Amino acid sequence: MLVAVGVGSVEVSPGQVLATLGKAVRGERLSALETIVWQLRLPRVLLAALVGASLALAGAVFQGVFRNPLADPYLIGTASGAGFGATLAAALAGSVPLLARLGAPLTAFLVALVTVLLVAALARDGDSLPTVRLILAGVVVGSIFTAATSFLLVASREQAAGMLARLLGGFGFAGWRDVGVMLAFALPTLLLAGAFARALDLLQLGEEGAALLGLPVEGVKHLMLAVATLVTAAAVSVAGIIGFVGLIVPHAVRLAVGPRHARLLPLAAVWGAGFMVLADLLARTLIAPVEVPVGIVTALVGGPFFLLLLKGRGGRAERGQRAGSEPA
Amino acid sequence: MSVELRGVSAAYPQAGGALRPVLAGVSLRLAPGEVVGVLGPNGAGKSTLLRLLTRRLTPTAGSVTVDGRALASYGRFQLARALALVEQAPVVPAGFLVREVVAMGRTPHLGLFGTPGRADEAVVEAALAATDTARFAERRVETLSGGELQRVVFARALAQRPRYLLLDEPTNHLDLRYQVELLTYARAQAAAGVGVLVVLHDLNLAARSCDRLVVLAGGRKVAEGAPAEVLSEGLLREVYGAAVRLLHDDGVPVVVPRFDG
Repeated sequence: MLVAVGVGSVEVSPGQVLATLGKAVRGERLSALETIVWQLRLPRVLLAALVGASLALAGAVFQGVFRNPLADPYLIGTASGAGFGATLAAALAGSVPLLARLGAPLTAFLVALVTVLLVAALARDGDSLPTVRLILAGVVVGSIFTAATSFLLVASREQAAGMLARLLGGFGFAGWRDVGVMLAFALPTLLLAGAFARALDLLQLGEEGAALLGLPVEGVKHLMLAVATLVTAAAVSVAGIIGFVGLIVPHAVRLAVGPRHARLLPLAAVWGAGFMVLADLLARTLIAPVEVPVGIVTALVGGPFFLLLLKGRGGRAERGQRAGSEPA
Repeated sequence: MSVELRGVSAAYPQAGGALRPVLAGVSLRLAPGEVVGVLGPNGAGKSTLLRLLTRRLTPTAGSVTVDGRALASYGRFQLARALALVEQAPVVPAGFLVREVVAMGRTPHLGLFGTPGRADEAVVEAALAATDTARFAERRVETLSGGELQRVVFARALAQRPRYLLLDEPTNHLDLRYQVELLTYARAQAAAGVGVLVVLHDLNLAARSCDRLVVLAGGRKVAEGAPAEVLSEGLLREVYGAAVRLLHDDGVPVVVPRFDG
């Protein structure tokens, strides 16, 4: 992270970064270089880390609740819903004071919540959420929200450029306020989801199996969905729509340490943070001085990975097979 | 101390709002230490009986009590400490180790946020040992055969330390050796004071392994008693619509299908 803070159009050594940190914390006056580090680079890297952690965490929770390894805030449409909500809030901020006061994160959350419930309802087949239906429903509902967002953008001409830039995904606007907002959402999410780690494990027995052991299945599911949706919405409202992080990171962690959520959730957060910091570093250095939206970087890495998963795992992608039945 | 159903009826909702009755006035008692077999043709209401006992279905009439208290008055975790069900086709949580899956059986004793301690580990070890699954405790569940898996699920039910154990056709898809093994484990539990209710299709296996048999047909109880009393050529023809001949082996009836009508 120190290195990521240092790299950019002005190179700063890790030592200088540390020195700046010390001065800023002590409240001393900063030089121009140090101001770049403190006002631009540092919040940017921290925000990338927090958003990466949040999306990976949300992905892990969605995958746990839906018992489906391909559930991800982006693929199942939550992020698109949140993007629409955030854009709606920005577009109407002038004319609808209530919306302005609610703020982008909350509007994003409300629309994203509707999206999750809608997608889950559309994809449900009896007691299970088959992968194909979940992804299809997610893509379709996501597309509708994306179209609605585009419409908003076109309709709100003069603000469109700024709104679009935010939506595309990136940390170019990062400030300390965003870091604060993100921390306020990410930390409680990690703690709350962590507290329910064993419950999430139990959900892997299927709803009936978990209920037989006494788990209040509906309550746990709804709470976890709300939490994952909330943190997704926060991430989208500060950094736009960044895909595939919530998919590949939990997956890689699961391969490394197994499916138990007590280990999966914290590690997903840590790896997600690292992955996003790296992706953002690539995004701003690949064809510098032009910045590539970070969502493009994650999609370029994550897209092929997703295809591999879909193809390689085949029938096994349906987690929680019933004993004695062949994979569909 | 017992599980008691008194005059229980149940029905499933159908398209159009009508109810399709599946159980009508069934009474049944399961005491600690006994193995009761539930028999009957497909659609007789056997699975419905288990759905009632695990509260996945509420009766339309009659009462269900566990150890003198109404089933409905139990808390979720409390009920899972009293009753454990071994499902017919349990979901296999891919990636989890056998030991981890068995340990999930401690949930009713831990609640939502409890942390398993020494005592819980000891119970899990005992469950693994009792089902002969200890030697593959560190394997991932999706690598197991059907017979091994069924024993793991049985072990998880034992880890619940229930007072009553419900088995839904536990020997389906198992070869002879595993069928006998599984019912041997069930009998051992009964000997240790657990009440065991087992839904079975195989009449001979039922005759061998159960203290008492209950025969359901068309949602009603048509016979109940010791295997030798219940299994008669007349009853089996009436209930299953199949001609059989009964032999006897050490006083236990052996059912042999007849093809000559």
